[in-house]
Amino acid sequence: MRSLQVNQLTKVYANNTLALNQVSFEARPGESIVVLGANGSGKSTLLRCLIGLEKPTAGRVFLGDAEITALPKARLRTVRRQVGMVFQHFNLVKNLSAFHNVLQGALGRSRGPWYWFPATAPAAERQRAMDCLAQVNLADLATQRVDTLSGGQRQRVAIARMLMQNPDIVLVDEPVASLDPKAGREVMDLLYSIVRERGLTMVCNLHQLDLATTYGDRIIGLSAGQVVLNEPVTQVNTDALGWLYQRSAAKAQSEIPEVQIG
Amino acid sequence: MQIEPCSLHPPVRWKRPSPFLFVIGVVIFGVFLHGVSISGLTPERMARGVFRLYEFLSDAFPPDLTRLPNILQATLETFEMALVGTVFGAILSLPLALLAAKNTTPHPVIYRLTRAVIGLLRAIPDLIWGLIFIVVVGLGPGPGILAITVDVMGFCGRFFAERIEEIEPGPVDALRALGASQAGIVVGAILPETLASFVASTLFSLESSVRSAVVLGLVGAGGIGVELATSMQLLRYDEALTIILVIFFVVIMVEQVSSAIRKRLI
Repeated sequence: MRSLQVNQLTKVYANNTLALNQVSFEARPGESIVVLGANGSGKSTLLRCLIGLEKPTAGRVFLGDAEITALPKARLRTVRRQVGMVFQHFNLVKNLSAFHNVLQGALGRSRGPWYWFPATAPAAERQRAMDCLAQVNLADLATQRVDTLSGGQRQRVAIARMLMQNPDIVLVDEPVASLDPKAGREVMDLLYSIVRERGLTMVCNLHQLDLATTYGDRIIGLSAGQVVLNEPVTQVNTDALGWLYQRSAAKAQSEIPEVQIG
Repeated sequence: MQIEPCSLHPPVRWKRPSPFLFVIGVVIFGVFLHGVSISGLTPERMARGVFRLYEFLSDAFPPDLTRLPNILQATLETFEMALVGTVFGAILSLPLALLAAKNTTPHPVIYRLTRAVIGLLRAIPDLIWGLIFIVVVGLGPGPGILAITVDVMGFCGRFFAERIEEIEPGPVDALRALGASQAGIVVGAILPETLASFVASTLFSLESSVRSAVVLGLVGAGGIGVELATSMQLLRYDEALTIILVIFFVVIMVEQVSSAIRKRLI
């Protein structure tokens, strides 16, 4: 399994919004980190920078020994293969079947156009996709179009797609924010059992303090783009977590020092 | 019920148009009047026209069916010109549209360039493309097919690009994040969402291509149009009527079938 290292990561958007302000942290192989923070604190931007969907303004990201922030496009693809991502809004292709969506998890290791369609994909990959769907208890819905599934089912399809990919590291962006509490618990339990069983390194953005303390090894608090807390879950003071949300975004904004971008 | 009077005036009744709109309006009105005056459509000339129309129709009835097999064969050729041209045009539109959509273009310069090319394809009427291709490849259905291909690219290229710009970014992000190639992303995330709309646009342009193919024949680009031009020039109005009826039938059929399919798609 791989480690993840983030060094002085800064992201300023074109409209001069400072989304990340010199964020640094490290995840040991197999460690599960929960990132907490109010809306607009930079959690999503952080994950998008980690996988290179967003180009940081300054700073460096290492996945294992590969520096994501300095890789040429072709190499970036091969590193992304090892990084699974689960999104708040699932980001599945709605008018394709659950099976096809899971099969797309193999696109990173695609050897040719036959990987693009369920009809032509290699038998081993097809079987693996079915196994992944079975793992998330959706084997019976394999041929259903994703847009006919419930939110909880969709997120499980997305988790199966991540499993299909066979990653070392998973980045999870508010996986339960669009789900009701019960479906949210199910999804978190499923995700956590997979991550634990395989010893995956995980960075997971969350809003819920109770989920964070249940599922995280370490908690990072983000406020207005800055790391304000970085402690093992056993040492975290729950008052400090509450404070993370009570502090208003506007107040936090005014506390950001000027950054030099070089 | 009494309402307390206030000191404010109601809004003005008329607003003065902006100088720009005023000038445009005056110019267009002037051109319109000039256009009516050069048309020369006097009541007396119109009355004579009605009489001539009666003459034409009495010459045309009953329609002459002796050459019906040849006419049907030429009509099939016209439909095939439209079909082949539309299919080629739609296929070529796809890469063009990917380059001309803001979210898939590799570079802003390429975006502007391909948008300009699509604009050029649209700006030149299909009949003129037909004349150009007749010069380039000679008479027959070939130049007709090329003209329709180019015309369809102008239409579909723009519609496809606009549809691609409307796609959800989420699935594209997801496939990019798991290391899919650009082609894998296009086939895996973009086409599934856009294909139905692409097929609908293509069917719509097939309908207009069938009409184009008829007219392209009039300038020598093959099909039923060639037959119609000959019959009219030889004053064989009864034969011309047969051709016109066949064209009418085919155009209606294509539109009915195509809109039935499109309804099912959307």
